[in-house]
Amino acid sequence: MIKFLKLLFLTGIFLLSSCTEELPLEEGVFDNPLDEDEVSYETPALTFFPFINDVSLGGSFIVSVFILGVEDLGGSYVKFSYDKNQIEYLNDGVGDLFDDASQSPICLVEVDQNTGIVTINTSFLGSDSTHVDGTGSIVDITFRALSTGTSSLTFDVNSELVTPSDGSIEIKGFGEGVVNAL
Amino acid sequence: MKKPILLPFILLSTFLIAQSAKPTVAILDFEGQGVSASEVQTLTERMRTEIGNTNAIRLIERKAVEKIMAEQGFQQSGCTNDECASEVGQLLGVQFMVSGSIGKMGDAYTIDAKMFSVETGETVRSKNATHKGDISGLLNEMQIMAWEITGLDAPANLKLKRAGSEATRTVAVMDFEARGITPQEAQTLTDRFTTALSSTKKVVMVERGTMVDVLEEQGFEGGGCASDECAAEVGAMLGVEYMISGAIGKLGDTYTIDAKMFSVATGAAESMKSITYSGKVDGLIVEIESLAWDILGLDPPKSIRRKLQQGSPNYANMGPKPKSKAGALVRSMVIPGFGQLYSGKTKTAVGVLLLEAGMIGLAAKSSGDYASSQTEYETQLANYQGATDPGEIAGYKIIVEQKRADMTDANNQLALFSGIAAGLWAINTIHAFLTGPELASNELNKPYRLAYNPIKKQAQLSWEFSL
Repeated sequence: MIKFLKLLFLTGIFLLSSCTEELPLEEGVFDNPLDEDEVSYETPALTFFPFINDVSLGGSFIVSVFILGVEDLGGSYVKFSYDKNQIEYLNDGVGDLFDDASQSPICLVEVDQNTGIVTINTSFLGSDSTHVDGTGSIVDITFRALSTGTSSLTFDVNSELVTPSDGSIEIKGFGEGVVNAL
Repeated sequence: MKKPILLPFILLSTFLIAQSAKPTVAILDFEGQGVSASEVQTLTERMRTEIGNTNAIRLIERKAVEKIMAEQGFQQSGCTNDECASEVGQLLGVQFMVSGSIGKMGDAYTIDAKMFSVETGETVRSKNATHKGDISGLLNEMQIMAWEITGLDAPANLKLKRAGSEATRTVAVMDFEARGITPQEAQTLTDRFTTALSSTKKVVMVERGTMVDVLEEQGFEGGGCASDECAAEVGAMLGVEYMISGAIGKLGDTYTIDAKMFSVATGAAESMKSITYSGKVDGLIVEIESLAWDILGLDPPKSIRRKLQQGSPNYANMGPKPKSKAGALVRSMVIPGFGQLYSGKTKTAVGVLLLEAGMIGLAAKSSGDYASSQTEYETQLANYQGATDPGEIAGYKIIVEQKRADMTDANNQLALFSGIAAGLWAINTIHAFLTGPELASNELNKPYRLAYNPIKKQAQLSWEFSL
């Protein structure tokens, strides 16, 4: 009888435990690199969006270079590197950070395919007061995967942000991009 | 061609034949085709021996046939046509001659025999038989042929031997004598006994109809042939080796079965068994089935032993099994409330069932809520991860957190309701067991019982017996 009751108890416990669902983890769920409340660095900051790029071999993908939480931005000099053996540059386009500006900026993108370094220069002509604030992309770059593997997109810490009066804006954080070519 | 020395022999033969009304017959050695001469000679000799047993003819000895043929310059093997046989028959002074052939085709042996009139040359009777198997099986076929060629039925033992060569004994069962029970009951039990004997596959049985025919021929009506002498006589006529006879008696509630198997040839008892049984007459069936095995010196099969162990009251009472606590428990384990229903507590059963169904329903609803919240959660999380506008990011983030809270609530409810359902199920099974039928009827039937006496407040071992 005691053996039976034990069996009954175990069966009840089993039924009880089998009737609950496994909740998703709370930690690490909010991982949008543009979510200023969740990222580990302070703003203003430079980051890639999306920060993880899964791409098949030979396929292309777009990475946006974002400036987060900036105020009174008049120009920028942003430099980052990529693995030239794994991906290759295809083309680029002006981002949306400057959409609300009173004039269109000059945007120069230089790509050195031999070293895998991209240099982006943006500035406004003619007026010292034109500037933008907030968060947005300065350029959208299209790459193509050449070989399988994982590599990273890394900002050069010497990148610069300046005000219309050419005052330096301190960049307090740098995000990193990851490319997974399958 | 005929020599003077034959004359006295022929005259003597004619004289002897005239003394008897039985027809005279001589058998020529059969012609062999694919069978050796010695084998053919052995088989023909078997027919001669058996035909003498028919007691329906006068058979001329083989030596006499050989002598005549030698005098006429014939070899038996050379006298194969009807003219030669007829001539030999005339010299022997017999009325009929039997000749034939034994052949082999593949694995099968064939026997063709005919009896013809010496006087007219007309074939009186012809028979044939086919045998598959070893040539030794032809011995039995020749014996059967000996009877059939003379126009008689072969004895049952020969036919039985042909039908079941592996069986070691041929047996006939006389209807058991009824003493205190009706003849119909005795006959039914005898039939069951006969069936059980057949199922042993160790004996070849004579059909009841055949035996009844023999009994009727002998002028015995039902139960008239009760003595061993009569049974032995019937057995001899049936051609069986053993007879089984017996009696079933009733004294109060007690039945006795006495059975005896004895040799027809010697009259010696081979096996004698007695059974005493108390209970309903139905229970005798198992006893008599067991007896069929016992009388042959065999162990009854498991099925019969099990029935015997269960006891006649259980076997006779094939009604519904008595209710038990265990039965209530098992039913409640499978479907909550069914144990109570089994115990006759209908209201409790319905209550338990409805409560359990309600809890399971609420748990199922919670599970559904969880699933829909999870789907929404995953959709909004994907929107959040793809958003680039800070305002949208913040908005999606709030929705994702809300959906996660919904999932948590649904999961908590699921755990609560399924927990209640599981607990209810456990309580229901324990309740079914504790409130199940107090005592099974088989326990009540036991002569002894260990139970708690609430009046004397002590456990007591009681013992009952009928006066």
